[in-house]
Amino acid sequence: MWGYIVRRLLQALIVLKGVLVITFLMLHLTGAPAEMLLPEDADIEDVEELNKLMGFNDPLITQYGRFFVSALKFEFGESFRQGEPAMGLVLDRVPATAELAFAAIFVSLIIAIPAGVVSATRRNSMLDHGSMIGALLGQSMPNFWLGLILLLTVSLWLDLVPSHGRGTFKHLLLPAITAGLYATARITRVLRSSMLEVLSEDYVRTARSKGLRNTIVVYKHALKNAAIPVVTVIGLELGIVLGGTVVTESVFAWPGVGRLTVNAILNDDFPVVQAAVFFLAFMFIFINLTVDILYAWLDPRIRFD
Amino acid sequence: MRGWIRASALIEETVSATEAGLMEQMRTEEMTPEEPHVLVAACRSLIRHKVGLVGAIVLIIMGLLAIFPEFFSPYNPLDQDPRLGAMPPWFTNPATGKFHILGTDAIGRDVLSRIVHGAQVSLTVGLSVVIIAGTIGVLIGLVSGFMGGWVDNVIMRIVDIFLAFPFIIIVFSLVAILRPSLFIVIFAISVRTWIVYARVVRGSVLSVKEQEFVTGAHAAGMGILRIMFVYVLPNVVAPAVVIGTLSVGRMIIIEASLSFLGLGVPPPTPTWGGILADGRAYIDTAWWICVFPGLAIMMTVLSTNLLGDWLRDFLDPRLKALD
Repeated sequence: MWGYIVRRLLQALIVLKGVLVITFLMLHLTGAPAEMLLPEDADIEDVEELNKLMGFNDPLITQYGRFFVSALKFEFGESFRQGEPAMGLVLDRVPATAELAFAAIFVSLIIAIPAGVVSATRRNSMLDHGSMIGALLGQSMPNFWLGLILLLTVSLWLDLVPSHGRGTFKHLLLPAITAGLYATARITRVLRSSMLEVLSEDYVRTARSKGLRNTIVVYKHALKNAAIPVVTVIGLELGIVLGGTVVTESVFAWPGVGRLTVNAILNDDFPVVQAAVFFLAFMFIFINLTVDILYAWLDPRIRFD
Repeated sequence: MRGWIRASALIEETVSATEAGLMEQMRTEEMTPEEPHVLVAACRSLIRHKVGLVGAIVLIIMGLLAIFPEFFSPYNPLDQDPRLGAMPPWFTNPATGKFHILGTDAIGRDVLSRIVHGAQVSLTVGLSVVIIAGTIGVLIGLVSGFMGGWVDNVIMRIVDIFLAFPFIIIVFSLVAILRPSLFIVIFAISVRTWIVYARVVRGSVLSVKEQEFVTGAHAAGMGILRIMFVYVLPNVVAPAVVIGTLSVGRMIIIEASLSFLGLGVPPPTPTWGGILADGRAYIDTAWWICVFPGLAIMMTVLSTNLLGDWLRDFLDPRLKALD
């Protein structure tokens, strides 16, 4: 197990290094980083001055070295707009995004588990068709559109929850449903097929022939085994939800990292963009690593892959 | 496709045959009269698969809208008339007699005409990304899996790095730095999507290259390129095609998200996400500006998903695992 963890950790470090290279190169992609950072009407002297100030005239490798050293200290410079350290701004917004991401996964489980189980146990019933059509529609609609529709109906027309901002459970409900849309659809489908597989196993038949009640067979014997692929999907989806929060946060004016990133992109606030991209990629790597290690612990065969 | 796979199975039995013999065998196998041409078989199967057929029909309609928008849209999508802003669906202009079946937006542009014209950007981006990223990904996956060793190692580490970026974030940042345009949107989405194809194709190559017909081809003295493209590629391309079809919809949603956040193809070009973004400020007074473009996106994406499901079943039902 320790060998696997060390191997996986080393791999994650290599990936993290690559993420840093790409985050660094992002600014140099246009070939004229100083012009990216200055307003459009800046003249040549301004560009030259900034080039000197930021060291853009140095060889790329020297610049990368500087960037790498400060990135290790989590320093990405100061925000052009707010004049505060960029990483600090990002970290301030992390709790809001984490709250949203976990709420989204939670909501999707609350919807997907009963839907997936019922579709499998009552195969080809109206309920099964209903939830499969629901999952298909869920996968086919843009989540920001669902957000707007929920905002319009639940918040503006029915006036049940506030339309934007963060604070109470009511504020969280619509953004969580929106951000969890794809996860809900995917988990429902995966759970249904894995339940169908498990329900035809011998031990389920044995449990039934012992005269156990259907609920116990389904929820205690079958669901527990059918949950393994679902755990993998949840791990994968957590990363996707993290990305999905970007759009959701914009719809509901949720004060998270995603909205900060989009605003920074729209305002050409480059240090904040770099800090946010690095941070989100870092979280993403961390989640994947945790899921892999958890999974190897649950299923020892993986360690020898 | 089935012909190819069967041909390969046949080749396994004739490892010692010469190259000419091998190719001749494949050709005769492909021309066996009992099995209809693959396109005829596909059409028949699609007609039987009702849901897939519906998807295909909707996509054909959307395709026609995208190719001939002038023909299908009642008015010019850019014609504005602020006096007629935010008029509800089924509205007839008393002065000009113009009928707006889906209403008008905040500055009086016809919503239906804008949706019809918006199909162009959505479908162009969806298809181009799948074709570009698919081709690049398949080629890289093929080389990676076939070559193995350090080539494979380097490529797979690069894939891991790209996978580490949350999809939306990398696409957003690229578009923002390179400044939004149709080409840049396609490029940015492709940068993050080729890896999906590369991984899947590499996996299939690893198992195909161990099969006897590949060993046979090696033994017959064929060049590496020839083996890769003539013998291995046809046997690994099916999953990539299925992923491609199933992901056209996803790409359309990504494009719409970019436009919605102001990072897509810039105005005045109408895009579905852009119309939604314009309507967002008026959602409490003019819901139709937001609702209809969303429905258009959903119908298109749903259709590509339905068609993709059919294609997967047609090419190889075992690929259900890809879902």
